[in-house]
Amino acid sequence: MQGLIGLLKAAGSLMSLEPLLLITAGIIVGILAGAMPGVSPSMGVALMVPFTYAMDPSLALVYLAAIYLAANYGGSITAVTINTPGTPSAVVTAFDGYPLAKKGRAGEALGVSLVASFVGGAVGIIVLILFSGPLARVALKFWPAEYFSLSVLGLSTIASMGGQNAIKSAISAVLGLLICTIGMDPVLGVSRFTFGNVNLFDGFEFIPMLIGLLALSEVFAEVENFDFTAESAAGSAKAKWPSLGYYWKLRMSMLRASIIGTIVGIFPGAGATIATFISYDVEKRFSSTPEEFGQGMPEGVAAAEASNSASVGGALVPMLTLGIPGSATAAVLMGALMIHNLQPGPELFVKSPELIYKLFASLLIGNIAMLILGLAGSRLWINVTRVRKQILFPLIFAFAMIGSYAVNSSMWDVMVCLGFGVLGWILKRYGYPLPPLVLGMVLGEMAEVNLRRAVMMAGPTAILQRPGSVALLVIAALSFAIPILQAKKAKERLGARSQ
Amino acid sequence: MESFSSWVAGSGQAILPLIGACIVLLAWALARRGSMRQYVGRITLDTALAAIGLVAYALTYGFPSMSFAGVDAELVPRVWAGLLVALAIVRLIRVFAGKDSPDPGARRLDKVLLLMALLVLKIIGITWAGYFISAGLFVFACGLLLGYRDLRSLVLVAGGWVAFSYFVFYRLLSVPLPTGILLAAVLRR
Repeated sequence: MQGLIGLLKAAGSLMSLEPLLLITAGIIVGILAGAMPGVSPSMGVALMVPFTYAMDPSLALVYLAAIYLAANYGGSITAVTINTPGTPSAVVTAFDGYPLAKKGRAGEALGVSLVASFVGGAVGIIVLILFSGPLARVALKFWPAEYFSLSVLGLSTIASMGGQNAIKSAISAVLGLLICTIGMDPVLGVSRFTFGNVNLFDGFEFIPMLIGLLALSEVFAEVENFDFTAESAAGSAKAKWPSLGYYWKLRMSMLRASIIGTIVGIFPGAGATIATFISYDVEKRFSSTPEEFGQGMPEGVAAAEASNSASVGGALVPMLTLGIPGSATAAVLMGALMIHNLQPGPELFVKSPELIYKLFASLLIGNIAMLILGLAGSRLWINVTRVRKQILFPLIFAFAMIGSYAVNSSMWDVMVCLGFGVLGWILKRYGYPLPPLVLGMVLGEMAEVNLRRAVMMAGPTAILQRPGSVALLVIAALSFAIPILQAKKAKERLGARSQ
Repeated sequence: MESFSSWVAGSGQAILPLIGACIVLLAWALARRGSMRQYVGRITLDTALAAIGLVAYALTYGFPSMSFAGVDAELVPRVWAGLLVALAIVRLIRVFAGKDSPDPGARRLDKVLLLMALLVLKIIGITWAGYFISAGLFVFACGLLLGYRDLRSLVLVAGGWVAFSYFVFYRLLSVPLPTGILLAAVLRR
């Protein structure tokens, strides 16, 4: 009851011009930052931190949290319209969002992604408000063995991502895992596969790799198949927005993904990207037509976006209650709080409860503002699909190049982007799926660091010594085997029918 | 083993990738001549993946030997590299057993290669002429390469992109876009 009163008081204090303007500005900046490939939510928040130096700490937190909230949604806009995820966590949105846009259903994909972001964001924030303390305590009990098993669970999703060829899918994932080992070893600091090149000491930057793999490779493939004499197919794209009933049909997908996103978001290091991969995989399993995923399923977009946005609330749980950031952006947010002499952790709840309530209230208001602004603004983005391909492709290249450069202001990253674009195109050409490669790159470090930490702590059988870890590994094994067995059965059934 | 490790850490860093490249070239040349001609792309790619795994596995012997509580830096890369080799070999067996479809047709490979060359030229151009000139020229040339013939629109799009990148990235986000060696020299005068 006391909490509810505190929350209502905080919401009341935000109902004045300055906080509302800051929330609106934060949402717009966040959407733009998320939508621009190469400008990640963490970069967007970090770039805006200097603007908050002169602000009241609570308003600064309100503004930065609004950017964080909206950036996760913003990443989906370009993922849907030009297959260029603005953020790593929007990669999964592109799997079905872009095929929908290609079919002339960009409005549908954008509408689903916006509403799912709103639902996911709301669920994440409500969980943050209600269960921040107890949930953070559960996450704190996780040891490296459990974190390793969690990454194995994430990797097991490749079985359902590979389409018809599990071996090609596995090769893609292993290649991603191997790429992840390039650079300084995260535990001992040993240089691996760097060939003495300073640029490789930190490994490849994630965003340029992603842009190359997902955007450039797609354009190369499109150019190879492009009929240069015909009119662009994108010209006929229709901006038909879904009805409320359409969203209602997707409610279970959104809810499931929101819960997964919130839970995964709570685990430090797991983050939105892993949440989206797991949610997408779960949704595929729940679907009666899993084979249509990747070809334009609204459920796929809903799952990805709901979990993506829900993870924001989840990531804030350990940051606020324990002082452990749940994601890179939460880490930037934490740094911003410290600039204002606020130390996130349990003491913050005791010393500045009004600040915490203000943050909770601003997130709730910000989520509604995101829905309104997203609805008003994202219609404009559909026009991207109406541009002729001969104009669109050069702009995608230009965007990819500047986005890769912006990460570190380095031409090396631009070359990395091009290199991965060529690699992605070659792999795609011969039927190797790219999502497992991305998954391997995302989970590689988490798997390695935690496996090694676990072995250091408890010996070679460390991951089998803790029940939580064993349970996660069993789920991972089932999650890997079931889709393969299902695909095999379906193939046999098809063979029997054709005979 | 110690002498092998020191060789890998030294000249092996250059020689091992070269050996890998030679294996791939050999596989390509053999596949082109034999009865597996229509699978030449798949064979070359799967051989390349196996070679990457093999070379990576061998390179782990050159890592500085450092161990903490029985955990070495080469353990995990070796597992991934070994898995890659094994899986790529399984793929090759499938191809040779005829369980895979032939290579996809070349279609407009010329355009893709020209586009890649244009991107490389842009990267070189950024270093010399700076971002804004190279980006404008790139957007214009890329549109032409892709068959767009409305020159006025192309100039507008290229100019629009340069203006957008200047205001958003250079001014608003303070991304220090390169001005280029030539322009910097002119400005210094």
